[in-house]
Amino acid sequence: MNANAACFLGAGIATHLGTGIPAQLAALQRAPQPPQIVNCALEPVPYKLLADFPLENIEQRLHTVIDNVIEQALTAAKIPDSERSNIALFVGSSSFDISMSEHIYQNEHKSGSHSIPFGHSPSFGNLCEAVRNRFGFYGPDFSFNTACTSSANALWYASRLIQAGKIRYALVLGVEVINHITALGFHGLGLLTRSVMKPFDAERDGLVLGEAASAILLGAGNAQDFRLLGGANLCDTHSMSAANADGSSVAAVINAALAEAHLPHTAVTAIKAHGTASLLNDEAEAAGLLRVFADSPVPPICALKPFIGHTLGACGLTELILFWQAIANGFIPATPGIGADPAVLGISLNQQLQATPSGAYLLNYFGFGGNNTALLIGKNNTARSGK
Amino acid sequence: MKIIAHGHYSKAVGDTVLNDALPPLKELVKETTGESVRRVGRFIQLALIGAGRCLTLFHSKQKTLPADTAVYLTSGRGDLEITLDVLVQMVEHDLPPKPLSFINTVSNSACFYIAKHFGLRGRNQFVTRRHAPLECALQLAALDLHTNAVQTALVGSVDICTEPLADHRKRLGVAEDTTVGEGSHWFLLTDDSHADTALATIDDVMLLSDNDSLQQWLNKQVLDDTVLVCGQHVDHTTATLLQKITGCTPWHATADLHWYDSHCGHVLGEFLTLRPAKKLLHIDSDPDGRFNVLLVSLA
Repeated sequence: MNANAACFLGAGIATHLGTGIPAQLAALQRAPQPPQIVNCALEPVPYKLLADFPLENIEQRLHTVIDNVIEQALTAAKIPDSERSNIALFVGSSSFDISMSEHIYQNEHKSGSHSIPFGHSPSFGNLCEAVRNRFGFYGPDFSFNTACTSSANALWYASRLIQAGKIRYALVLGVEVINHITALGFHGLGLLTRSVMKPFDAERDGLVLGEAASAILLGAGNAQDFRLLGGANLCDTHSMSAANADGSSVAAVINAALAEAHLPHTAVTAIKAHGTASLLNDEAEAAGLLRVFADSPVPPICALKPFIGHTLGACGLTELILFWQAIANGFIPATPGIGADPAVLGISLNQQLQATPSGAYLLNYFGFGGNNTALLIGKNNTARSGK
Repeated sequence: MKIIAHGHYSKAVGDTVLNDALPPLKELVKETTGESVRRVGRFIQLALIGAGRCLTLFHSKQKTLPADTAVYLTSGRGDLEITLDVLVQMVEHDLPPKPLSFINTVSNSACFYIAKHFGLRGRNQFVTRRHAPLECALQLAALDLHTNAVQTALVGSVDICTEPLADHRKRLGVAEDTTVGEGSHWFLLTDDSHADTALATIDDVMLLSDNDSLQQWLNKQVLDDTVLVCGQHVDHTTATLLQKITGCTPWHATADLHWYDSHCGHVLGEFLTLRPAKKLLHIDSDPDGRFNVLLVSLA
């Protein structure tokens, strides 16, 4: 056992692809599908909704799916119930329980009663508090709200607090369910497409929003367990809504993550791109990767948003679990026909399922507010030389 | 970790003396930061004012802020003003969110403005805890400083009021006659190697899961010449008990006069300014019987 290692002990997940790890792995080996169109108050919006949680009973739905993925993670981790009270909780989300607040206010408004928006003591920490109470977690809790990097940052800090010996177990939760503010906000920004997302493709024309809930339990494990090898977060002040297109800020955060992991860039053997299929962000990410891998071939790159949509604050953890599980099961996800031409941005996405070389695996995340995060995962014996 | 500068804005609103109307902040932003910052709401304005005052104090000592300074912003409720506006426009007037308003509903938009205005490119986090937002942010800053991941950390706690105040009180879950407040409290921190310029040391900031854990922690502390402040969530009976078991002198900072989630930041700021004792022990509780403790010693 590695005493202060923050190993991935067990995970739970629910996305548009289904509920549980096996459903995700099966779907990741098929071609991504177009979104459905959901009526969001004022506008029809393309969305990838949770597969197994019907859009009803909105005030309970969020907690139902959260409970489901946490139970999956706890069951897979096989830690004794007596340890639950020591678990620290880390939640990353861009919207937390705003879907519930919206629903309550809309119903009150429709009924003609005197309604106060957010009249039920709103707070970022309410979701954490509810989860802690249901599961009996009495360790410290942290709620991260850094847009699309939220749950990536939550995982990074959870791992580091364990490594520093401050906590023993951490349950990291990433969650994002449909809400009208987010849906209409992205619609208003003109960032949505009605087709399959096409990151790094000449025909890329925007993103599809997705719902997801994911959970992972971190704690001491074995040398063969996957874990976070390092990470970094930096603020890119170039623009509120897009990374610097020259790739400098993207390269900076990847290099900082490699430095924290004490790994050379040549140790990276596969990449999970952020890949939002927006014109500027894909350009910035491609340029950043080309800077980092300027003197060596760019490793195989996969993009997961064509499968599950952009799950915003949940994408950090959700895509990490998908990528980790795909690698652990021997394949790098492929998006045939999407991002295939390296002439477009200088990089291309993996086009067919291929075996995973051992090494370190890079995951990129970029959020509104210039919040950029890069994570590296792998096993403890990942080659430090990268040769 | 050491506190090397601090800066604040705090205002009580809605008591029997003060007008219910919230004071405009635009000129104050310009006065503090040296430039007009357009198209931002009250939350970002307050963040800029508090951080600006903190860094003005730092710069007055002819110090240059490193560009890799990390920013940790926290808040109990975030940018309620913008989020409420977006929600009301959508539900009552069938209007979709305006693009900039939507982007500013993301809490770390305020972090972006702080980083951009003060030329910072380091790590940048918005993190919170329901009953202890500042303590939560300080815990992450402490981790980063103690592991030498960062050398300088700018930690801020910001909460705003929204009008009408009667609705705001309901959102906070406080009584109708409660004087509420808003504030922005910022602390510039370094690791222990910068003791020469320190105003104070944060000896400990942590969450204790129950009474026994609190008692064990207290048993290890030397609490001579220490004032005790019980946070907003500590009831009277518990406060009396805490005074008894700590033996500390209770201290009532002016923040006790008004209720807001950044209360702890105000207390720490008042302590650093008024210096009523050698040490400050701030203890707050939550409904689950946990305690958030903050122990600070003046340099």
